[in-house]
Amino acid sequence: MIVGLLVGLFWFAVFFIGHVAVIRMARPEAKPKLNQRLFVGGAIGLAVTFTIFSRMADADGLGRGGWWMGVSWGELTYVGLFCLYMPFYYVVVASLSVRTVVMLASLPRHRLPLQALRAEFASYALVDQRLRTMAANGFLIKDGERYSLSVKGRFVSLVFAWLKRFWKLGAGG
Amino acid sequence: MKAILLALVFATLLLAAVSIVFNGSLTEKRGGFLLRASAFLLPFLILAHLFTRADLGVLPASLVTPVSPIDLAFSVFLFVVASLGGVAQLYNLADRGFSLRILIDILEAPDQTLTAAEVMVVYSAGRGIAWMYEKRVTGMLSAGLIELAGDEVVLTAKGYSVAEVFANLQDFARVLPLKATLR
Repeated sequence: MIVGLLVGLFWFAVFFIGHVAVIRMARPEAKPKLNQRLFVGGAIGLAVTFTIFSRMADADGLGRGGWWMGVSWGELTYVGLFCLYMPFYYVVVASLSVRTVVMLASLPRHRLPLQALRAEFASYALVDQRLRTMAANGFLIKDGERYSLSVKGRFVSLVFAWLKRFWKLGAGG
Repeated sequence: MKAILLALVFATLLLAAVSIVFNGSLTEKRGGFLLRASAFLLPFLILAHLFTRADLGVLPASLVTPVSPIDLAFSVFLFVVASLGGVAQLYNLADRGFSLRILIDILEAPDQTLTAAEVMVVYSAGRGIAWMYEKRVTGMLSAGLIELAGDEVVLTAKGYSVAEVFANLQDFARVLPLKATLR
């Protein structure tokens, strides 16, 4: 179990190094898909390499619980760190509020008419870009100017539409 | 195994509490409730771990972690993941997710297709994109990041500090300015 925890930490470190390389070197539209592949690759790598790590530590009793228990601890550690980190990453790269304050900070007097902010952040270009990104990542299918849901997009939208109704969140967004 | 089972029990309790309260009268400050509920349950998780047997009376010896403090720390970690990385993220995405709302708007469109121009109008069940940004502005105002001076939006000192941190992170992550990405 404890070996699993250490292997989970190791593979998250491997994922994170790869992730840093992706965010600094990959094209913006390719980043989500590459990050997703890195994550899946790390999860598989963990399961595959666990036996090697557990042989090194088994003499100390740290590998108690066997392969499946160790891998469970490892995967839970790996996925858990990913779940804590990725929302923060998306706040940095995608939040409109963050982009607004960063833009204001870059201006000489740190101020801008509300109308100008609306033109920037509540714009056709913003929506168009977001639709293209979702299409590039397999959530939407583009047909001329129109967008429809892919199988993945339909599944995600059905799940969250249900959750919104279940928690009575209203339309939101 | 005890760590996983206890974290699972307390995560289920959190999800149940959140679902009951969200289905009840609470319509505002749901995020605050979620964090308070997590903070309330966490000490009980620790106490449950400290005052129950290592094998919970049912687990075979092979599934008992040899170092109890590590088992406790792992249980706390899993509960934090379930609350902050799980339930809170589900709530944030469901309530505020921009892309997710567009997906649902397309799902709810009569022919289940939309153009970018139509999304501008029908976003969030007909509120429109302008409403979406007003909601962000209201959030930034209530967080003290910006203030209004006539028709201008002014960054506060707090907003500037936050912006500096995020600007450095965006530089590191090579996030292009919005105008550059829109071209």
